[in-house]
Amino acid sequence: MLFALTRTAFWAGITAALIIALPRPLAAATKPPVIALSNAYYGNNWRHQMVDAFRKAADQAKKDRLISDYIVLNGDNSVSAQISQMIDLILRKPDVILIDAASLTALNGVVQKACAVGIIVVAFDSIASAPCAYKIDWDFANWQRPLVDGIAKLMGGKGNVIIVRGVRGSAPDKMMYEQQIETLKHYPGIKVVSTVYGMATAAVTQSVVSNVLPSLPPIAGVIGDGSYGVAQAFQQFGGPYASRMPVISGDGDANFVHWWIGQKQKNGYKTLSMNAAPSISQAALWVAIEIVNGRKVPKYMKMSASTVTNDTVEQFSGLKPGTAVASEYSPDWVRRNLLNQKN
Amino acid sequence: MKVLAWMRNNRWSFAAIGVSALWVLLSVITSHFNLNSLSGVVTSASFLVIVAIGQMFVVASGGGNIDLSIPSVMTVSAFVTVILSQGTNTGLLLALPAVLAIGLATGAANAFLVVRLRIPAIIATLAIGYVLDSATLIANRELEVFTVSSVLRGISSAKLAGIPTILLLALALIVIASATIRRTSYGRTLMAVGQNATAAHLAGARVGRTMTVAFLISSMLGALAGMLLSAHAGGAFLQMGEPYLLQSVGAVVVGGTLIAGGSATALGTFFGSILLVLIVTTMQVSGWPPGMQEVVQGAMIIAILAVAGNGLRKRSA
Amino acid sequence: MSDGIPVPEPNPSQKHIESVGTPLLRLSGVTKTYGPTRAVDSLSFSVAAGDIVGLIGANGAGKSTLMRVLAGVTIPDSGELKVDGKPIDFGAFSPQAARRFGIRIVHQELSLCDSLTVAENFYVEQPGRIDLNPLWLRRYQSMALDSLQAIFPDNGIDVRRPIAELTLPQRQMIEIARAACDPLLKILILDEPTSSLDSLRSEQLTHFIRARAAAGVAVIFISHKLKEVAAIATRILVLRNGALVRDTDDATLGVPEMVAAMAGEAGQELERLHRVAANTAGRTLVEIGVPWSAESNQLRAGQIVGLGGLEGSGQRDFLRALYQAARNGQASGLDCHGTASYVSGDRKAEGIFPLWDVLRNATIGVITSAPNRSTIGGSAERGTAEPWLKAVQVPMDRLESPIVELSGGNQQKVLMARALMTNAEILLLDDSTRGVDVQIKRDFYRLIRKIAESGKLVVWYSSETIEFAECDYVLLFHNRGIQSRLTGSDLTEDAIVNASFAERGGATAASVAPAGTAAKRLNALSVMPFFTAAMMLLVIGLLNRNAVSALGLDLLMTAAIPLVLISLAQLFIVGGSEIDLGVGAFAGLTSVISATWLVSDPAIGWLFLALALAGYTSFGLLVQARSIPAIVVTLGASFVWLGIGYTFQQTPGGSAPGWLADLAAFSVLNIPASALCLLVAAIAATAINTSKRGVVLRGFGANPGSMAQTGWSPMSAALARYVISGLFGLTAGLAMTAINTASDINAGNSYTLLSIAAVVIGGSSLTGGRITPLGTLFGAISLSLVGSLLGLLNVSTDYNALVQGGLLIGILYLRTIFSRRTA
Repeated sequence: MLFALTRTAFWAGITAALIIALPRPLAAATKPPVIALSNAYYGNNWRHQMVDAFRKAADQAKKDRLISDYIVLNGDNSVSAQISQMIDLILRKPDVILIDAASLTALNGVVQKACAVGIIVVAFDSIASAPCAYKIDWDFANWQRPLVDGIAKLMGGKGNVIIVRGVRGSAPDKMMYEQQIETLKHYPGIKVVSTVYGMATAAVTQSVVSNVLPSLPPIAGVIGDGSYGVAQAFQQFGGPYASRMPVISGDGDANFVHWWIGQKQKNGYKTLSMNAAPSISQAALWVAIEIVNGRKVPKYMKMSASTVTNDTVEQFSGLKPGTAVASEYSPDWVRRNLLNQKN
Repeated sequence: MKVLAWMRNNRWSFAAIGVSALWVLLSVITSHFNLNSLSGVVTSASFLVIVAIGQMFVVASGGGNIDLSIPSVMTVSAFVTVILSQGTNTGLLLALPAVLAIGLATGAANAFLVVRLRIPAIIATLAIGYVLDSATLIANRELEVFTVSSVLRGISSAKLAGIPTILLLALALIVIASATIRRTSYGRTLMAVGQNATAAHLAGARVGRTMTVAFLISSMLGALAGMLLSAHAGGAFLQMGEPYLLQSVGAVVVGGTLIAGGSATALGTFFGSILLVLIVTTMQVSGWPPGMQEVVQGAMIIAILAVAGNGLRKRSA
Repeated sequence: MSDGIPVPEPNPSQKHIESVGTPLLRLSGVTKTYGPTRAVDSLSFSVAAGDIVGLIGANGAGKSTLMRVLAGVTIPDSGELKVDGKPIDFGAFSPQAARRFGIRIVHQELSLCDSLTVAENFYVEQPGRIDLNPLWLRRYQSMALDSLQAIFPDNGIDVRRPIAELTLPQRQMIEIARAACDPLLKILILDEPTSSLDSLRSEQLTHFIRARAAAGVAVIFISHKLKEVAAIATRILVLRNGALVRDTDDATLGVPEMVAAMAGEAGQELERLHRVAANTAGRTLVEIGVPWSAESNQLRAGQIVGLGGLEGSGQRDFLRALYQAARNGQASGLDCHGTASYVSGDRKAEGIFPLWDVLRNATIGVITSAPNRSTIGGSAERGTAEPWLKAVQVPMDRLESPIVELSGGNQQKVLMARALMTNAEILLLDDSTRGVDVQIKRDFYRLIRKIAESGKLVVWYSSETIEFAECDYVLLFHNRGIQSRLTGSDLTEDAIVNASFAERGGATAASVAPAGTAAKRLNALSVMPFFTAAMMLLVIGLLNRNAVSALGLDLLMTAAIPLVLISLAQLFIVGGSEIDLGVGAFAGLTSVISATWLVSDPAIGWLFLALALAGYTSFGLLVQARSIPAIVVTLGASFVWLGIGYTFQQTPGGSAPGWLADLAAFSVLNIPASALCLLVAAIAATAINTSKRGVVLRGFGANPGSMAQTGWSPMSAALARYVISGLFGLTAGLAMTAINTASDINAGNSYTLLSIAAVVIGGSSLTGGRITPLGTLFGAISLSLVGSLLGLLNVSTDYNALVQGGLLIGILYLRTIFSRRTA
C-alpha cells in the first residue's frame, strides 16, 4: 500500500517539480524575494529581541520593495519541532530561509534538503553546520581575548576567578571557554578556582554561583556569561563583597548595565562588557537580500561583539530592562563588515 | 543495632547523614569549614523542596502515581506571573489568584484523568504537561516585561535575620506537610490509599477524593514554586521548570519516601533536596567534567532505588 | 490433523484390562495446611487408567488445594505422590514437571493469556514443537483448530483471534481443548469444565471424555453439577474438610446421596451457640429489589443474614454493592438506610496495611470515616482503639508490632475491631473467617451474635457452608441474584447444600455476557492511527500540493524516521507494561557514538555501541530483578546516557560513517531511503511481534502470572524485551546520524515523551500485552505531521504540543469509554 502510494507520488512529484522548476528564473527576476526566519527558540529575552529586530528590518525592507514578504516561525528549542518547521518552509518555497538553529548538526539533513530544492539557507547566531548553508557566526575567538585581557588588567593581573560557562554541550560555549583559558595563560597571577555552567541564563547563573560561592576563597573576578546573575549572587552573599565587588565581565544585559552604572556612581566600579547583539538577525536579512540579488557573498562570515566600556557605559542608561546592548545593522554595515570577509 | 532500627523507622536520617557527609567532604575539598558554605546550596534547594513536597504527596498516593506535569506548571506560572504582575506589586494581586487558578486547574485535570478515566498517572500528567507547554508558548508571545515585583523578589531573594526567606518558606512547608502526614485524617488516609487502595476503600476511605487532593497539592505547589522562581530568576524563560522533573522525583526517593506509595517523609524530602543540590555543587567545586556530573546524578537515583526498592510493588497501571 | 491428535473410538472392553495394572496415579497421606486450616488432610487414593473419577465436595472441602497439588502449583506438607508407579520428588515438582508426567489440568479460573490469539496460547504451552519455519504459527493454528474440532465440532472459533475478543464459553472450550489434546496426556483434571458451557457443548465434552478414558487416559472431573457427575463418572470421590469421606464406583449413586455425603454430620459438629427467632422488629436497614431479587427483601437491625449459594454466584458482588449503597445512599436495586463497615477475609489483598502497626491498622477506619477528630497519634489514638481491640481479644502487648507479624487469625481480629470502631449500623462480612483456626472461629461466632444483639445488622457471606448455621436466615444466590431464602428449621447444612446444587438447566451458560461486540468496537478503534495519519496527509496535500509530491513525502517521512524508530523501541517496553523515559537520550548517545568512534575507529565504535546496548539492557533487568518502577529508573538512566554523550562529544558535530551516508542515499525503484527505512522498520517490528519470542513477550505483558506458571522465565522475557527495544533505539541513533550527517547528544530528547504518545495513539495497551507495531508507526507519523499541518494551516507551531496532548487525551478517553462498556 505504502509502497504503491510512494511510487505513484514520486513520479507525480517529479513531473510537478519539473513544471515548477522551469519558469523560476524569470519569476525571480521580476519579484522581490520572500524571506523566512526559522528560529529554534523563542524562550528568552535575547531571542525576543532578535526576532523583534528582524521584524523591524523586514518591515522596512518590505516597504522599500527589497522583499515581497517575510515569514517568522518560532520553535520550542527542540530539534523535532524545528525540523517540522523547516519542512513546512521548504514546501512553501520561500527564496531564502534564515535559520537560528536548535543544534549545530541535527538540522543539517533538512537544511541540505532545502538547498537541494533551490532555497538559499543562511544560518546565523546558533548556526547549522551543513556545507550548503551560508553562515554568519560569532567571532568568539577574537572577542574573548580582548575581554579576558580587559578583565585581567582591571584585576591587576592577580587574584581568584570563577569561570561561568554557557550552555553545556554547545559549540559557542566550547570555543569561548578554550579562548578564555588560552588568554588566562598570560596571567600567571590569576587562578581559576571554580568553573560552573550558567546555561547562559541569569537565573541559573545566579543559583550556581550562589551554590559554590560560600566554599570558595575570596574572588577577584568573574569571566563568562550571565553577568547580572553573577552580580546578584555576590550581592546576596554580601560579606566582604558588599563593599568591594569582584570584576565581573559583562554580557550586554540591560540589568547588568544598570547595575554597573549604579556601582560606578557609588564606588567607581570598573569592568568591561562584550556581547552578541540580537540584531544579528538584521545582518542576516541584508546578507540574504544580497545573495538573492546575485552578489558574491562569502560562505562563512564572522560577527564581532558589541562592546561597553567604562567610558561608554553611561550611553546605555536608557536601555530597556530585559534587552541586550545591540546596534541596528544596516545594509551598508553588512557590505563593509561582512561581505568583504575572506575565507 | 538500636541505632540502625531507629534509622530504619526514620528513613529521613539516611538523607540527613548524606548531607552531613557531603558537607564535610565539600569543606575538606575547599578547606572552608563552616556552616556558611551550605547557605547558597540551601537557598537553591528551597525551590526544589517546594515542588518535591508536592511530588511526594502524589507518589505517596501509590499505584505508581507520579506527576510529570510539574515542570510545565512551573514554567507557565512563571510566565503568567511576569505578564500579569507587569513587575508591580499591585499587579501581583492579579497574578497570585491567576497562578493559584492554574495550579488548581492543572491538579483537577490530572486527577480527573487519573481517578475518573483511570488513565495511568504518567500518561495523564504527560498529556496535561503538553497542554501547559502550549499555553506557555502562547503566553511567551505576550511577554514584554522583564521586571519583577519587589514583594515577590523579597520573598524569593531576601534574607530575614541572615536566613533566606525562601528557606523559611520551605521549612514552614515541611512542618505543614509533616503535620498533615502525621496528624491529620487526610494524611492517614493518603498513606492507607498508597499502601492498598482496595483495603482503604473497604475501610471507609474516599480513595478518589484522596488522590485528587494529592494531585491538587502537587500542582498548586508547582505553580507557587514557578511564581517564586520567576522572581528569583528575574523573569520567565522557556523550559525553566525542566530540571525539576528528575530532581523532584529524585529528592522524594532519596529522602526515603517509598516510590510504591504508602509512606512519606517530608523531612526526608527536605534533606533529599539539599542532598541532590549539594552533590551537584560538590562535583562542580571539585571540577568534575560536566558529563560525569549527569552520570552520577542519574546513577545515584537508580542505585538508591535498587537498594531500597526490593520487594515493593511495581507500577500497577 | 498434522499433529496427530488421537480421537479414538470408545471401546468399553478396554477399560477393564487397563484398570487391573498399576494405578496411573497414587496419593498416600497427602496433607496441606494453611495456618490452622487443614485444607487437605492425609488424603490417600489411587486412580487407574481409564477411570473417570467424579470429585465432589462442598465449598472449602479441599478440592482446589488437591488439584493444585496434582498440578505442581502447591507443594504439600507431607505425603507421597506416585505417577505410573514412580514416586514424585516434590522438591523438583512444578507445573512443567507435572505436564511432562502427562498430568494436565483445566483450571476453573481460566489460565489463558488474554492478549494472545487462540493459536498462540497453544504455542505458549507447548513450545517444544517449534521449528525454523517462518510460518510456524500455521502449525499451531491447525493444531488449535484440530484440537477444538475434536472435542467441540462446529465450534466456530477463529483461532487467529485474541482470547480477549472471545466469549466466556469459547474461552472455556479452548482451555479444555488445549489440555485435553496434549499428546503426552495421561491424567486429565477438569475443574468445573462446564460452568459456562451449554448442554450441547457439555454433551460433546462428555463424549470426548469417554473416548479419552477408553483410550487409557485417567480423568478427574470436578463439578458442582451433580447430575453431570453422576452421568459421566465411573467412580465418585467425596471430599469433606480436606478428607476423603466416600469412595465408590457405584455409578448408581444419586444426587441426594451425594449431597448427603458432602454435608455429612458436619452440621452437628459446631453446635449453635443459641438460636433465637430472627429479629423482625428491628428497623429496616436494607431494602433489596430488582435486579438482585425478584421480590422485595428487607434486612433489619439485629439480624444475621447469610449469603449462600455456590461460590461466585454473586454474593460478593452483592456485598460490595451493599457497601457502595451504604456510602452513597443508593445503588441499583439496593436501598440502604444506615452506615456500613466491611470486613474482608482476603486480608492481604483487601484488608491490612502492611507498612503499619496493629494500632494504626485498627484506627484507620474511624480516622478516615470520621475526620477532624483529635484521635490521631499518641495516647488518644490508643485510648480510642484499646476497648475494641480488647473486645476482639487482640493480644494487647502487640499493639505496636507490625501487622504483618501477626497470625492470620489475629490480623482478622484487628480488621474486625477496625470495622466495629466506626460504629456502623451494618456489618458486612466477606468470608472473614477464611484461614482462621477453630478456636478463633468460635470466638468470632460469639462476637457476631453479640453484635447482632446490640442492634446491628450483620450480612455475612461465607465460603464455608457450615457457618450459615450461625445465621438467622440465609439468602441463597444463584446466577447473580437471590434465588430463595432459608429460615428457621429449613436452615440446615443439608438444605443449603441441596439448594445450592440444585440444577437449573442451562441458565448459567445463557447468562454469560457476550464479550465479543465490545471487543469488536475496540478493534475498530485500532484503525484510528491509520485513519488519523491518512487524514492528516490528505489535508496537508490539499493545503499544499508540494507536500504530496515525491519531494514532500520524502521530507515528511525523513522527519518521521527518528520518532518512528524510537516509538517502536518504546512499544516493546510498553508491551511489557513498563515505560521508558530514557529512550530518546539513549538514541542520542548511540547517534553520538556512531558519528564519532564509528568513523574514527569502527571496531571501538561497534564495541561502544554494544556496551551501550548492554547497559540499556542491564537497567531493564534491574527493573525486573528488583521490582522497582521503570519510570524512575529510566528517568535516571536518561541522565546517564546524556552524561556519557557529553563526555564523548562536547559539542555537536562528527560525521556519518561512509556506509551510513550511502545507506541514507540508497534507493530502490526510485523509492527513497526514507520510505524504505519506514518499510523495513514496520516489517521488522511486525516480524518480531509475530515471532515466537514476540508471542512470549505479549503473554508476559498482560498475564505474567500465567506465563510464569507455564514455565517461562520472567527474566529472560525482560532481557528479550530490552534487547529488542535497545536495538530499535540504537537504530534510531544511527538514523539520526545518517539523516543529519552528524550528531548532537540532545537531539533525541524531544522524542522520548512523543514516543509514549505515539505508542498510546497506536493502539497499544498501557497495561501491556497489546503490541501494535503498525499502529505505533502511523501514530508516530501522525504526531510528526502535526507540526507541518499546523504550519500549513498558518497556525503557530506553539500549538504543536497542545494538539499532541489533546490527541493523546482524546484517544485515551475514547478507549476508556469503550473498555468501560466492555466491563
